[in-house]
Amino acid sequence: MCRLPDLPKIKRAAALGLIFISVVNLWLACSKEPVQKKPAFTAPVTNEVLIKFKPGVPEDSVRALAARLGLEHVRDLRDIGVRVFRTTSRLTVEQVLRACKADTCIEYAEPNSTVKIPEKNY
Amino acid sequence: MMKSRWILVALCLLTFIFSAQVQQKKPPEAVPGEFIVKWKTGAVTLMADTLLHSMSSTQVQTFPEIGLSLMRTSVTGGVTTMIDRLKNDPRIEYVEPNYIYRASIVPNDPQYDQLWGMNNTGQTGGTDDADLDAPEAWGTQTGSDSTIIAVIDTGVDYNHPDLAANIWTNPDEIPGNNKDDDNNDYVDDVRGWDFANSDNDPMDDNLHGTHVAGTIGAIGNNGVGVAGVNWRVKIMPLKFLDRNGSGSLANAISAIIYGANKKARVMNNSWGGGGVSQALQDAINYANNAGALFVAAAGNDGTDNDASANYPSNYEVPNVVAVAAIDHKGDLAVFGSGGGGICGCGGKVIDLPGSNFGANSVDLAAPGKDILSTAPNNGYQKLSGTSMATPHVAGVAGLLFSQFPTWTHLQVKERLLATVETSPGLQGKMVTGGRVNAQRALAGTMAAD
Repeated sequence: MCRLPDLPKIKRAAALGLIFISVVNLWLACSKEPVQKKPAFTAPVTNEVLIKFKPGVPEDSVRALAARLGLEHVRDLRDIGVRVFRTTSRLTVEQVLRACKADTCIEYAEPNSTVKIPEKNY
Repeated sequence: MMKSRWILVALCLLTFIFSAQVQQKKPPEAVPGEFIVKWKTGAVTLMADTLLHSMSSTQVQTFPEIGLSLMRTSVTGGVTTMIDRLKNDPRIEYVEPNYIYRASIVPNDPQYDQLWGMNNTGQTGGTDDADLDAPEAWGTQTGSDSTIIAVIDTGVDYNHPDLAANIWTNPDEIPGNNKDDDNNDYVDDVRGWDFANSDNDPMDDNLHGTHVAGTIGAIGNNGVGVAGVNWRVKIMPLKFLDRNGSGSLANAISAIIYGANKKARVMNNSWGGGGVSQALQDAINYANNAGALFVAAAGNDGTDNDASANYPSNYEVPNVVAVAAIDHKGDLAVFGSGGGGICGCGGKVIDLPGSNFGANSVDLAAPGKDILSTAPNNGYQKLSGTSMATPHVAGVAGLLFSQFPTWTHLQVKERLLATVETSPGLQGKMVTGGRVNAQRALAGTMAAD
């Protein structure tokens, strides 16, 4: 003959069940490899800068600016009108970017920063 | 006494497990406003006419041999209302929706059944049908050699037996003559370019790019390994990330421009970082002007891209499609082991990131956890991340371009977003509130249908 357990026993059993589930979840959570948080990739890690000159800026002005800032021409991204330069020991990337910002011939200048695959855990 | 207590504990546990497994099945697809009536006796036409008078319905077609009528209703509430009204009518034997049936194709690739993202039957403990409905889509389209998808990544193992026949070759370059035949400044760029090492060999020295390529276009139904979203496609390997998965902004730009100039219709971008860049945005704009769709990973920090921008997925250029990742239950993916929170394991507090999201900055979601795909040296491997979700969307875009070759990239984007399968867990987390669905995209089944 079946008999229903009394209420306090059900409560105790439910509490035990919840504790059991929590322990299992905690064990599962801690038994796997931890995943590290992705760092922010904002720092310029190369010594290169990308410069877009305003339309119509003569080649002489470009060369003069490069000489003034100690920049070495690396290559051009012709289809979007951007030039890649390498800084020399005279000025840092940050100093070059500051100088470019003040130059009216330049549309924008930015560091040749690093991008990455976002997965860190394989 | 102890025994009954343990039985109760076990019952609690089982109830918990089974309640989590109970899934709501979506209703079968039917033609809106149409239903089929089977008459009990008498002339079909006469009875249908009577019905037409009493209810706002029209008879579309009759099947007198078996006493059926196909009806169309303009009644508010549509087919469900009509079926409820008619099912107890003494003149009617049965009434049912005009269901839609579609061809479904399953490839013979031996590891295909592990691809829950393509077809989720709950084989990995997930939710039945939380997938992109690939077999249903393959009944319509399996891809074509005329669709080019650029994989802008760590390179691709172009010799992999499940990829080799789907690798793009440059039709304007003569292999090995040490000349720049197509005058694009790249000598002997027969199968793409390695911008990281400045050479013509975009072989993958990491893993990431080959894995991405396999999801887009591992050869399907070839009896080998897995099947990509596209069984046939042309994958253009554009390597700009080095063996450590790191690359420069300038090389990313060069790869994008190369892909645009070589007529890639889709670009897969499973990478990020670097902060905001006007030059990169200019390059994506250039790709947009060339008609290329720019599919980008939303990122794996578990954060809101509306609040903290992730690039390149956050660029507001019309061709950008930002992709979040879901797990096999259809929920926004958590890649760590502890449910996306902070886990105090062994005294160390470790952040456990998941897929990024963004009500305004992330467009849609796709399978991105425990995804099996191709790996270098004839291998296969499971990886997780929005990097793995992105090629599912790029792949479906490829199917659309193969099915509708005259469509613009913006038409393809519009179709991708309009035909997602919405899910309560994704609502408010991304623009569409749903996951990509290949079958609906090809059929044009809108998200609201």
